Amino acid sequence: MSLPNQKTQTLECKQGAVRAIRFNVDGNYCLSCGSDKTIKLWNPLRGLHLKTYTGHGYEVLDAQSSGDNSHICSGGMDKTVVLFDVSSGQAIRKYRDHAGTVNCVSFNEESTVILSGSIDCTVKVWDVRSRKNQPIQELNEAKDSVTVVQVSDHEILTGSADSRVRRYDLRIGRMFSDFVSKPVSSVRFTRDGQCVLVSSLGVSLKLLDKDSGELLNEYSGHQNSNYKIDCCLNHKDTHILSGSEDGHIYIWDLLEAKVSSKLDHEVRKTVHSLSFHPSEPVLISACADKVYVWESNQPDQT
Amino acid sequence: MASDGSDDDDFVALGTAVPVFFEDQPKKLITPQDLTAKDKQGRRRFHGAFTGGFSAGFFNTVGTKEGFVPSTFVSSKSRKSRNDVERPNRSSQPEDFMDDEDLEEHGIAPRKFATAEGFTSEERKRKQISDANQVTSSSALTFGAYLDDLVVPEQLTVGVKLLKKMGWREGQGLGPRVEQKKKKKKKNSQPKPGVKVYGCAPPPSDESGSDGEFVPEDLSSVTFAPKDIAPISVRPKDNVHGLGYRGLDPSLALPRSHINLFAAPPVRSTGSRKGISGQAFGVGAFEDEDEDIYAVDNLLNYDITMQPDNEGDDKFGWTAPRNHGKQTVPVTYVGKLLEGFCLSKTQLKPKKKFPAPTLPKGFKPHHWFRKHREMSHIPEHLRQGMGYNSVKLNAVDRGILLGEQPVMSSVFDLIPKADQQRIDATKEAISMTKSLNEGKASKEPLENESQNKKDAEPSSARNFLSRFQPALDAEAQDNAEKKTSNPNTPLFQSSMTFQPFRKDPAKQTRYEKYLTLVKQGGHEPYNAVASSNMTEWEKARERDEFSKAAKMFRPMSAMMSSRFVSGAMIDDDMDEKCIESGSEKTDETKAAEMKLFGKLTREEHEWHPHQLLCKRFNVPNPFPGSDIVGVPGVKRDKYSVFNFLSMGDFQSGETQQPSSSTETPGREVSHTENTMLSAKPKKTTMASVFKVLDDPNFHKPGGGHEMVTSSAVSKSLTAKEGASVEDHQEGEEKDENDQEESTADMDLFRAIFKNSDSDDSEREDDEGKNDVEIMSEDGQSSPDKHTEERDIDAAMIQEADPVVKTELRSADEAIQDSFRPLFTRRKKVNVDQEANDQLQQRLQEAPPEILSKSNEMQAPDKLPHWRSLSGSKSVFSVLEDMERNGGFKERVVASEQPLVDKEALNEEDSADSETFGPSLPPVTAEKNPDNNDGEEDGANCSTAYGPSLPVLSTSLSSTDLQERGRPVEKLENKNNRKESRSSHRKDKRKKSKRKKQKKLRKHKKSSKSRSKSRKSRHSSSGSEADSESDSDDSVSDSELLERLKGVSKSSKSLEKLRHL
Repeated sequence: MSLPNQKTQTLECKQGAVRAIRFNVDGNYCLSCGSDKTIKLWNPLRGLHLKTYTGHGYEVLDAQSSGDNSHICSGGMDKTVVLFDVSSGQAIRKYRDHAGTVNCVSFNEESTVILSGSIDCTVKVWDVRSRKNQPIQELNEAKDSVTVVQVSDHEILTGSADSRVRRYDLRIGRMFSDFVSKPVSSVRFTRDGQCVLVSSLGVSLKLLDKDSGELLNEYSGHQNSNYKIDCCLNHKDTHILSGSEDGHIYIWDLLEAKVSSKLDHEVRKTVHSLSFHPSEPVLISACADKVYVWESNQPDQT
Repeated sequence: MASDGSDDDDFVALGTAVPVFFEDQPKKLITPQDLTAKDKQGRRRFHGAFTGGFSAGFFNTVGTKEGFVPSTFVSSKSRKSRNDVERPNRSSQPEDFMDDEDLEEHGIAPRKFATAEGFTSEERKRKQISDANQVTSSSALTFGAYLDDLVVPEQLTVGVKLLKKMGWREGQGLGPRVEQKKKKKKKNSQPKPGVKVYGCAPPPSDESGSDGEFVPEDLSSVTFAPKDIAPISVRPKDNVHGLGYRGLDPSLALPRSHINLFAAPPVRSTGSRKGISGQAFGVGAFEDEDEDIYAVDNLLNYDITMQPDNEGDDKFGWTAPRNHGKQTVPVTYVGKLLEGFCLSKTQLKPKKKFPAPTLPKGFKPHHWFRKHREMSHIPEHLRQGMGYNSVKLNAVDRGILLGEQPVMSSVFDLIPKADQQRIDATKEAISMTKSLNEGKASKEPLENESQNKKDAEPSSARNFLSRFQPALDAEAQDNAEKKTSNPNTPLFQSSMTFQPFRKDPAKQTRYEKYLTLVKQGGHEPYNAVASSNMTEWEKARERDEFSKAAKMFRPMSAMMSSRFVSGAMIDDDMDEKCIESGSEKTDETKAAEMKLFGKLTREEHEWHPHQLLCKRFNVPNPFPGSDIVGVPGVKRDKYSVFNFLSMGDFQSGETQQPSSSTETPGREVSHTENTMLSAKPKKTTMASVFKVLDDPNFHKPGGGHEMVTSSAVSKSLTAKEGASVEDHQEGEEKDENDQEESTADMDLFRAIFKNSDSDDSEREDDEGKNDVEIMSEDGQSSPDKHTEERDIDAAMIQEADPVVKTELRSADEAIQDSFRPLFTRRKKVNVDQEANDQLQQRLQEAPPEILSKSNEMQAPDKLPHWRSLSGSKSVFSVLEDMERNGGFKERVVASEQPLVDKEALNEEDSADSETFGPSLPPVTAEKNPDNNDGEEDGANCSTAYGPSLPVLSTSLSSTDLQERGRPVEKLENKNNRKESRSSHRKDKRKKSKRKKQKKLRKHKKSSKSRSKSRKSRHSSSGSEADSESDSDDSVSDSELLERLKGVSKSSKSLEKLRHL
């Protein structure tokens, strides 16, 4: 299994601190959210800056592109969720119902709704198709800031600073809440949708069984005590990646839970955001004001 | 050629169109006056019998303005223009005596354009003759005048003249000169021996002869004029003549007609004129074929073959392409050359072809939405279980599948049997009395109840139960019939308050059931409810009624219901909070620490997605028709600041349901609670005020009943006191208690529950007065806000009526306890908890009746506000705090300053407190920690920007100013780890907020207290010390001391953490 092991590109984003970096759905482009209120669209493999999206009133903390790449949703410290048109760069919609910083945003799979998690302890669901300014629904079960939201075809997965991972299953109409002793900084479904990868402050990453909530594996060695650090899985669910506050990206083998490699950013700053290519061994990570692209120098054995 | 063209034109309208005749136009009568001719000016044109007479002298108008003005004599001496010179007799012109009309078309001297004299035909003829005369005279031929007529010089048109000047000769074709070869070729292109020629071919000699040129072979450089050939005319055949027929052109015969250069008569193959033209019309005298005049027309001259003599050239004339007719098809060319076309020498570039993309191997030509994850690996049967199948499972089925215990169907199952019997008896008694009174009670409820006949209850219970009777019936029926209704059927709250069919109990019962079914989102809820002995018509009608009633009598709107808690809810509310904060939580943390994830750390709730959300996710709604959105039964955290910033949302999941009893199976519903149901609404309000009543222990307080009441009263009084204190922001309160009591009835909440800091900060306006207090406070450093609250209360109490005060003193501990739950800290501070436990133990002996009585003394209408407000306490305090600090901007600034400057800044802030800026949401406080991160976390980030954001949490907003500097968002957790973890989050928030505000206040203090306050700040505890001294009498000294010790410990640990 080839893993990204060499730095191929370094994107100078020139947008202050990069708050998040996200691949688009097919992995050809990526979005970087800057602390200078802008979002930038890149071709990470060629290091091309394609477009800048402005419209936020304060730092942008998260963004995601829609499934058809026509829209971008983003949320930031101006408490708004903004929907951008990719080609024109215009902000089509602004949702202003959140009472606090919007930490995370996510489209659903068909990009018909936006889910935004905020520091006001809610996840709000916005209908992209209507012109309503009010959310369709509010998931207000969290007792503390919602730090991360992920959506599968029928589930909404949220992690919040009240140390709970909540999973809302729309099909059966139930909400499952798993307690993980520490504030959750990132939560990911595995690509097979059976497990949930949870990273929380100060402790190891945990791989939980989605259905039972049981602990399957733990991954430790990295450093995460202060910041909201992303974790992710590689494109084949064989490895687990997480940023760290020591300027590395840690890669663990999923089964053996051993650190298989570390990617050194040569900067002693927190690597806080990372995103894995959906189908190839390409990783992008954000550290301070730069974005790094990591690729594999071995052919992908399939 | 020139004659063409008229056919191509469109229609031409000649003359003036006949005016359109409209039938409905009335015919105007023609009067004799209309028949007289008039001129343009309307003057009569003809006079008398004469026509054409001048009107000049008519009616002696000559010389007048209207009449004719004769021209007067004009001396030519003064104006000798050339005209005058040329025409000296100009004044005598007849036109001078004419007016415009006379010169008009129909006038006597009409003026029109005419050919100038020298150019009229007569004149030209004359000229020609004179020319001819000159010729003839010069040639010595004298035919006399007779000949003059005959000899007419030919007129050449300008075009011919020009051509001639250019070197053209008659009989030649136009165009560039051709080389000899060409000519030769043409000559050789005679009918070949093998080719049949129909009719007579023109004699070959004729051609060469007609050319009349002998060209030596070697003179290849000599060029010759092209043949005079008519260009091909592309005209459709529109007549019935034979092919190629063309009538004789008369212009050919006429001598002076225009010579058609381009359309020479095809019958003549040579330039010389001969043939038919001469025959039919004769030849002019000056034509060169005079000798042929009498020649017999030779049929050979006629071209009667269809084949043109020169195949290609004939068609094109001199415009033909160079190598016309001798095209050779290249070998590579496949296909037939079109006649008249030739292959171009330069090949066209082949069109760029874009091949269709090669399809990937597994491509299927249909689209599916991109899934982030795949389901394919899941076996079919599992997938079915996950909701893919068409078989619909309801919540119960799923619950059973998931191995849940079926939840009990009713609260009444939990009641001990003896009590059940009593209830039944009561019901029966009620129904009996009803039937006696109304005489028309329906049979259904009676039947059920008559089964369990017991001795009747005292009528006092009736009042209570009558309100719930339908619900009870419904329950009974449910149990009896074992209907398929959802086990966690919520008792429909509104049904207890609104009973639209009260007159008909059976109907009301059905309505209740209907409502519950509607609430659960069943299909066709009425069908399950309708009684069998009704006709279809009745059923239909009742269904309409029910649906209308259900729409009309909605439960309290979500907003309202989120603000208030009904009596039935208190205990549930309490329980829910316990779920989150109580022993279960510690279990969870323990389990998490032991890494026993799974059942121990998992909670599961029913969750109702919004209909639209299901639609957008393409998922069938698991609860079709359900009104509930969100997690039913579990209320959201009332103590989150943000909950109160969006008060307008009606969709949020707190449609109040008294159903949480079903949510928490196994919960004990005590007998006392049941019997006290009637008092519940009031009790709620009480509880909402003092929150004590949330605590079941308090239902049996140790003190007498007077004591409790008095405490309550004193409470309210103090509340008023406090309100007045804040409103006036003055120190007058001590003197003017009475006045203030009258004015301050509105802000009870604020008085009681508001952060002490706010009023403290206000009080600081008159610092001198409070200085002593503050000094004493600073001396003590305790982080416990609870005590601080008490202090304030006590302080207020002290200011209250003396009577109340004394009573209060007697009931001191009870008050303390009654206040505690609002600011619960018992789990936080162990000492405190112990004390409380002791208190509660003592209080447990009190009979519950006291409580109810005391409750009755409260005005029930106003009280719900208390409850609601108590929940919102933290918000308001925060908002107010914000306002006071001049809004969010100043705060950000303040937080970005180095710590040392904070004091000064805070002073500024509080100085701004008069200007009430817009109340900004407290979120803004969140920004501060982030900004501070950037600065204080120097190791990690450049000065320009922080590299990343710490995990943001709401608790950040509430943490201490100093704590805010830390990127850790959950400082309290660390801090509290040594303490019990069970403390409520709300308490944390309150505490931290108070801390913060306290600190602000403290910074404002005089310089004397500043050092101390800083000390206290560093220990993050001195906050509540403000009114500590006042509360000394209310809190036992030993307790306080212990508490303070505990606090200082914790604050030390905090300090350590901070310096790490």
